[in-house]
Amino acid sequence: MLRYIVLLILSSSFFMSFGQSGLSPKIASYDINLVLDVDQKKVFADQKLIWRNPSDKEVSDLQFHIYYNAFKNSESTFMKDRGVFDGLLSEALEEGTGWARTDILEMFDEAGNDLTENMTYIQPDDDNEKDQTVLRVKLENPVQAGAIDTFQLKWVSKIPKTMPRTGYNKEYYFMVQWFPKVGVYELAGSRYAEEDQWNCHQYHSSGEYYSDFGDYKVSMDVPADYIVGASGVLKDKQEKGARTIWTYEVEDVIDFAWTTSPHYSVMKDKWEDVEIKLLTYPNHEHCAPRFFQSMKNVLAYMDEHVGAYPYPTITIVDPPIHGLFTGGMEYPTLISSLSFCFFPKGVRTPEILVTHEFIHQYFMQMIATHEVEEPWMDEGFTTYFESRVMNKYYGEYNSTIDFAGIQIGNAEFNRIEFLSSDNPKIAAGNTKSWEYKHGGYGTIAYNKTAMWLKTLEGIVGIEAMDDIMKSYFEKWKFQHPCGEDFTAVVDDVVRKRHGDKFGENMDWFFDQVLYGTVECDYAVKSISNSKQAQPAGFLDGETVVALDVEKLKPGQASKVILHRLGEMILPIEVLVNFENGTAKMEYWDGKARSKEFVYEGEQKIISAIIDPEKKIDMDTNYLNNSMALEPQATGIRKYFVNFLLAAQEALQSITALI
Amino acid sequence: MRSVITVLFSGLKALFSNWEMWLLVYGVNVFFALFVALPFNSFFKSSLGNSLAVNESLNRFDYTFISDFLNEYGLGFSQVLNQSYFVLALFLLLSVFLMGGIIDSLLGKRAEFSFKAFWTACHHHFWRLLRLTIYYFLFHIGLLLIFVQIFSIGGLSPFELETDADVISRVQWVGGFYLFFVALIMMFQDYAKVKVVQTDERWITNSALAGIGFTFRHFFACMFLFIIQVLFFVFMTFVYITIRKQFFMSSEGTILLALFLGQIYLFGRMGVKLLRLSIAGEHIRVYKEETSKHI
Ligand SMILES: [Zn+2]
Repeated sequence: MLRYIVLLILSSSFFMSFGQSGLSPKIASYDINLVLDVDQKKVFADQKLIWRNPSDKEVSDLQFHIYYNAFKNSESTFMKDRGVFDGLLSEALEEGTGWARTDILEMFDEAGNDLTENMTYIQPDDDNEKDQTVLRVKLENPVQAGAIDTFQLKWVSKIPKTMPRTGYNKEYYFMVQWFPKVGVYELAGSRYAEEDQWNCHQYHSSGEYYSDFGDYKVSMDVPADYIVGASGVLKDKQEKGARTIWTYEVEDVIDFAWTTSPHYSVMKDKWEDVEIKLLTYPNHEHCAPRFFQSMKNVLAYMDEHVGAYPYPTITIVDPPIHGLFTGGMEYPTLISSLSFCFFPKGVRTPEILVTHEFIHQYFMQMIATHEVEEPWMDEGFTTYFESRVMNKYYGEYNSTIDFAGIQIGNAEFNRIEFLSSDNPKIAAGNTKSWEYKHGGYGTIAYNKTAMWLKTLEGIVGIEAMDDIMKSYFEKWKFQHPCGEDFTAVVDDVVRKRHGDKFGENMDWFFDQVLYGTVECDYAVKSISNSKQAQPAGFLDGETVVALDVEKLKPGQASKVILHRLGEMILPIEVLVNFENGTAKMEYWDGKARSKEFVYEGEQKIISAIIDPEKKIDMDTNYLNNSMALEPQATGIRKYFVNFLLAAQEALQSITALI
Repeated sequence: MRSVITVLFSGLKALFSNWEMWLLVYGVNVFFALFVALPFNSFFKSSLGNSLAVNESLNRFDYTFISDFLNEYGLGFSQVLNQSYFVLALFLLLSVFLMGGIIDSLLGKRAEFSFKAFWTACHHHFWRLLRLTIYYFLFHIGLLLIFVQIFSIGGLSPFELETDADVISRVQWVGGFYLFFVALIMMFQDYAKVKVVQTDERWITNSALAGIGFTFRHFFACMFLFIIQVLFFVFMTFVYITIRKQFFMSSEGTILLALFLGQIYLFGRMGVKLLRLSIAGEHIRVYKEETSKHI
């Protein structure tokens, strides 16, 4: 009896704290009790939603994401975006196990009004009536301005098999976007809202996150041999015969994810006060040090360069091979990576995924941007910091691959991914996730954004960049900033650190890199050291002054000509090297189509280099950034010898057939 | 066992006493490789020979340099590569052509290597060895297809696998058997080639079958000799890679050293390839002598 009283006090105190103290505004909190039926592949749930109306007007409806309905039929917007017969989708759908759904069996408000009949599916993005991923519930009693109301839902979900990001396969379950989640009620003036409104998009194949902060308490009733990992901290574990109930709690987050499998090995480590938990399969246990070390690296780096990680835990899920579809995902305090038992150390996929997915705890989780409307704000920022972290701990030129003589750095890999894409100009950086109709989501939202952030770092300097990121985090953590909120922070910091060196604001930069599609390419066109004579000819009308060949001197007029080949205009540094070993750094605003630097004197120019420190990551071609007077004989010979040896080896290998 | 060792040493002896031929094979390789590498060199020089990026990339595997080169000059580069397919086809034909002379010389009919006899044998055996090469090429393709099928039993989808260790064990088992059969076909081919040159019959079927028959009858000896040669190759490759890993081609000296080491390695590889034929020829000869002694 005493135990029940203690539990009652504990659970009521959990919700009494709601809306009061804490890191975040706590708009939407959840208390969910669920039963996992592993035979039917279903979840049965009782869900309590505690919602605070952030507006100063009453709200007469609620809107929910019902993500699992994306897998309800082939006509959903998700399926149409992705293509039913695309890769992993088709197999599970053909055998029938891929289809899934969530049915809300009943919903009551605090006063006991039955809202079950007030539910309708809406399609705010595309009017696709077959899409049932957004549910609108008309309230009997509107939620008053600033008031907190509680809603009680009972629902059942059929879990999909091997769908993107979520579902089950064999005995492995990865449960994300799994419960009816209320949308964000945006206030006029915040982000792009002109009036108070629901922002609740349909589930698209790219982009997931945009939710309000709150506290979660989730109790998961699973078969006794299953091990559960979830967002937050394990508060209670009760064994009841053939079943075990695992209760996890987490505060000030925008979402909740969980996973279960009877085969998990649970391993633990620590960084300062943060417990790092790894859920992996037994034959991957030897990879644990790689997961833990990379997690410690990224925790330390983000703490130093952006801000503190305030949660007591972070859980890494390392899916089994049949759970590949869930690898490389990010949810509050729970991320998934990927490893194979045979991964060589120099192939750093596990480290990159841990790093990348953890950085999302900052960009999309704590700074709760809208991944669907502005994917660049979470994927791009995350990719930018991924390179910084990986390059710091594993080396600038081998942080992605260091294997079999091949070395590739993270930032350089990112740059080439963008430049080698089919069409780097396919869309502007601020494109909404579902508007990347013909490709470019990955290369623009991830790669290009990371490149222009690195370019910004090059232009304003690393100290100013750190200042920008720290200020952005401090100002916008536990809120929902939009792109303009970020550029305003950049303007403030740049003005504070550089005055008007870069103009009144940085619009000239963002108009090109974020809102535009132009590409950047500066080139050294020529170097000349022409001899210059004294003036000659009919200089004063009648008498001819002869050309005095003796007075021709080399290097009297040395000249470097630069070209701007791309449409993008950026301030450029140019290093000019002279024969006597001296060098001069020149600055060009980069605006004209061509530019020359002329030097009068005895010294010959021997080479010129645009952007010698490679600050402009956006430059599409580094090869034409420099020119020397003399051919680079040693380098040319190196590539010749390499090519010759490769040709000889290829010829010799082919004789194996003879 | 004693006769197998004898075969190995007399094979080595035959190879070294025909060193002119070994040099010739090496020379042909260099000549054809230059046909590919020289156009690349002039293309490379003219497109970015004056860019400082070329020398900057000396001290590491420069992914940015390589990718920018392919992005900017990929079209010109692929034209150079396309030309090399033609060179490759010519090289293959010439290699088949040389095979007759090589085997003829290795069979030790003459006291000294003779280029005249070598070219005559090349010419004489060319069409039959070409047919044999085509047949064995088809065998290799067939074998590969069969093993791809075997590898796919139970599905290749990762979603069907219980653990990734399944993939490893499948690669180990199927790959192991595949390599065994590849070795077997190569052995058949070596002995068949020798038989084709030795018997000098118009139709190659009997010789090819005789080669297979010989391999089966002397399976362990053949396998032992084959493994010895594979070990030669593995050892050489290991030593080469180990030394090459010690330095970057970052100066004129190291570039020259890499070129020199590469040539030694390739020369050695060609020697091992020739040794296989030499040993096959000696093996058949020694066996013949032994059987005639018994008679
Ligand atoms: Zn991401």
